[in-house]
Amino acid sequence: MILIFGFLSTILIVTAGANIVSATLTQTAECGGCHDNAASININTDVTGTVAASVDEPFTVTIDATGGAILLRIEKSWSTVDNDMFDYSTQVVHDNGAGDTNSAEGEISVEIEVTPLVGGQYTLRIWVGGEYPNANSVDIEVDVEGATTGFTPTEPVDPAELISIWYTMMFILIPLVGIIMIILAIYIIRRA
Amino acid sequence: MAIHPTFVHFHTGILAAVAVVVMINLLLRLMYREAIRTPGTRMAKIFHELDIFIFWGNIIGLIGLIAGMVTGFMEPAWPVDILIADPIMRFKILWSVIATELYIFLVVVRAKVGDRIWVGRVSFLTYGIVAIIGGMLMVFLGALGGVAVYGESILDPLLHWIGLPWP
Repeated sequence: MILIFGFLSTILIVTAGANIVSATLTQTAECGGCHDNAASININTDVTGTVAASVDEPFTVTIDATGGAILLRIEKSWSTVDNDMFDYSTQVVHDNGAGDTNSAEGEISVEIEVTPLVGGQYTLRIWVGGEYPNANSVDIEVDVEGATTGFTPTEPVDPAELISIWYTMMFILIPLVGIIMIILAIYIIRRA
Repeated sequence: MAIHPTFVHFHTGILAAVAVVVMINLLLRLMYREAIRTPGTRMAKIFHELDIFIFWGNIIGLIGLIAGMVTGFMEPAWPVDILIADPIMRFKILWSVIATELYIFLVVVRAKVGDRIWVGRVSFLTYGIVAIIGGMLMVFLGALGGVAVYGESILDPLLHWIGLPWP
């Protein structure tokens, strides 16, 4: 009993430590890393030109995705753009899921409230994925007026680091659990 | 063509149900120890039936779990590289394998020891706790499957609170 409780506590501590690295429930990499850019998925926004915004004053972006759209996603960790310079009312919208106002299959319409966190000129990227490997993205340029200091974006999570931690857990935890279960089984069978 | 969903729901449900029944049996074992050990009593019969449900539930669930894991790697739209790139899938792969180990333990020990597994304090507590942990893993893995497919789960608040998936 002590063995099993100790072991499970260790797992909890180890995995909770790993969780600090993984700040999000969802995929952290940009969709284009695995998916192809497919023209079949069309993304339109109500934005024309550069959005003029101010720090802490939210503005709304209306997005319409068609052509087999299944999932719309905005991740702050995408290091090639400046998504971490904003807060969003929603970052993940599924076709016909919460936030989608378009009931047609393969089409997503959503209004997202975007709040600038710091002054500057930024590019905000939105990805929409369809049936694998289809995906497409749209960039929105935002000129934010206001203080340019006093805010430090969260360090983007390196997916390679997470995968490395996962491999370590695979190679350590699985054999360890197996050994402990065998020891426990032998102990219980002998005592019964 | 999606094949994995065909194999995942049944065993998830049955193993979660097994975990609930294990909790009931643990309570019965702790509260009515003497009645359970007296042949012919109603409590002994109920306890026995629940024990049989747990045993066969674990066997059927284990088979379904293995089938679910195998078919998880057979989806054309989710090659291994894509699976590993997704934290949800990484969590599901790792903890599915660990859950399989737990259920192999439960099935082997119960098959070998029989219903005497409920006699010794160490054996019945270990058996019960491992079965409950296995059931919880199944529920979490199923919820994360829901997140992967639908983008959300009824367990989202709990998943966020625990910080799943790791890492």
